[in-house]
Amino acid sequence: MPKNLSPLLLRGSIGFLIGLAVWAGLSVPYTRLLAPLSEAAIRLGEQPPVTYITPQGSLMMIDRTDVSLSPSSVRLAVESTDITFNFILLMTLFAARARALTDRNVLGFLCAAAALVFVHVAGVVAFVKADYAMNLGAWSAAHYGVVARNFWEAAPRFYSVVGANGSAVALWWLLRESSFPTARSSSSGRTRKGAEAPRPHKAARRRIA
Amino acid sequence: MGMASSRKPGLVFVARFFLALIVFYVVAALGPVNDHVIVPFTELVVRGTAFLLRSAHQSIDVAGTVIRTPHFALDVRNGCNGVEAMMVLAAATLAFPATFRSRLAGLLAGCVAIQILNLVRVASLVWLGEHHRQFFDFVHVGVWQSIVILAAVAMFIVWSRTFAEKPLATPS
Repeated sequence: MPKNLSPLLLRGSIGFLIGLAVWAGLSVPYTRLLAPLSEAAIRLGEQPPVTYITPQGSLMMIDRTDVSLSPSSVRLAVESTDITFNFILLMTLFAARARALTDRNVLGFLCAAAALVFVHVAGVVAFVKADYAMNLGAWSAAHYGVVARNFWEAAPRFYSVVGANGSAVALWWLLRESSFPTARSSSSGRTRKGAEAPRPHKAARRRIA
Repeated sequence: MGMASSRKPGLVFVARFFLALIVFYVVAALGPVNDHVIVPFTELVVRGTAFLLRSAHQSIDVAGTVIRTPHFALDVRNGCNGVEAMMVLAAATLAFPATFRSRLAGLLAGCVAIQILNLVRVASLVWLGEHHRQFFDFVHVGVWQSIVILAAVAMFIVWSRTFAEKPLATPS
């Protein structure tokens, strides 16, 4: 176990609380940003554009102008907090790092947070397309084949179960400040019993010779 | 060494990580796997949670993957049974260069720890649903989901620094 676990836990906890506060506090204004971006992304595949996404609090209300729902039908909606929760994970991972406030770490976090917006747009697209494929009755059956229905049914589940958090972990891994962890560089020179001792760097070997 | 080549091991790791996540998800979503592995496992999680809550003198009924208290019922599904965190841990462990033995050791220890934490998660959510329903959604989505995945990531980092044998990148 790392010797410096307490400061790491403290930094991570602070990052987690800040992430939680930002996620909860900014969910409504962020939904106002996410709705038009997602609408534009969905309309890329529509000719003519028929999807309208209207933010209402932290909900995104989905409408299609070419499908008329009966008054008793439930209007399609996506809860943005179900899509954006991975921001908390991202914030915590960057904050847990020693020297979390260095320029490189902060820049890495900002780049990862910007990339996360695209992940969120992809999440909204998955949820909306799943609604189109599954929840519009005869219209869904007429416009989506079996494979497409299965794919779009699975897409939001994949996002919710592993995709959202997996994306945050991947972005952190790619954009964090530290070099990639190595067993030998971080194990204080310890080697496993029977393992080959690390060879000195080529330049060092030359000096030794 | 240039920026591109120093990023390459990271990109390879991320590509392997995502590929493994997709494969795990697809396998877990297959009907027979879901019915004969995931659902029975989730029922086990539910029974463990019920045992934990009964030890704390809570009135609990269990039916399959559903836990019922006098005023609340919780259906434990994928995303709340700890399998998602185990998938993240397994994908990261597989993507990182290491021996089979160290991967197996890391996975086994990590999965046990994740499931212990997950029992606490489900038990606390049932208790919250019963006694403080207004906080349930916030804690369910915002707090516990992140904590369980963070635990998986933390275990992967500890494992990769302690047991993994090959370095991912050589210093330039």
